[in-house]
Amino acid sequence: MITAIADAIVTALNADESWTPEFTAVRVLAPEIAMKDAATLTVLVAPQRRTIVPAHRTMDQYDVDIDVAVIQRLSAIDNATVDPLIAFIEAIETFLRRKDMSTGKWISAEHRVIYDPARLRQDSLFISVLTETYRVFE
Amino acid sequence: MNRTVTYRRGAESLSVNATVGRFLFKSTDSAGVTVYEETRDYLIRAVELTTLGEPARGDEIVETVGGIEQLFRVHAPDGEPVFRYSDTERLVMRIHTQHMGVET
Repeated sequence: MITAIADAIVTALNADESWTPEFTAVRVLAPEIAMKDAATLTVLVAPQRRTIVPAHRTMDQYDVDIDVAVIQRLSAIDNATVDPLIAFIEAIETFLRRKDMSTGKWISAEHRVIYDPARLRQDSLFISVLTETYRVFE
Repeated sequence: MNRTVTYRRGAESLSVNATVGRFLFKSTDSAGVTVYEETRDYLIRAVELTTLGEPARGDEIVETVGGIEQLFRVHAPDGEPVFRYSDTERLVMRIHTQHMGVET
């Protein structure tokens, strides 16, 4: 279930050709990157968490959290460089909002980390993580 | 393998002997994203840097590689120290750097 939802997010993101800048989202087991690869805009989709509670006697409710991480190493650290990336992940959030994925019904989105200021300052590395939550009944 | 490199800070520069190595940093930030970074390390006897003191972030090392001068900046990711002593007697320093490109 959780991987099918993550795959559906990847497929939906990659199917839209209107993104600026262009990217290819990839589903990963965990969001990780080598610094040498971070010069290219990277979008990683990773299952994060699943919460299960009884819905009624014969059915359970699954809330599935999927992380969407946007990563890029920047040549400069200023508003002119960072703002487009913030706008980019905001566009991803807007794109995914209220869209059901596989068997999951979209519930909410949380921009968990807009960016890590320390990482940005020390390593010129922009990392932003969006958590999308989907609900499944089984 | 030992080689001679130029270590510099601002207008000051020193010609020093160094052994080149590498180090793999791994850190997970507040977003839960794990970042790997390999640094090029220079092992330099502390006595050779006496006039400059301990290495500092932003210092530069110029090394000739394949006949071309390459610039490396003293750096360590995620706020890690940019150098550490590689022996208990604190005679040799392992200095982390990142490649900045061809020296101009």
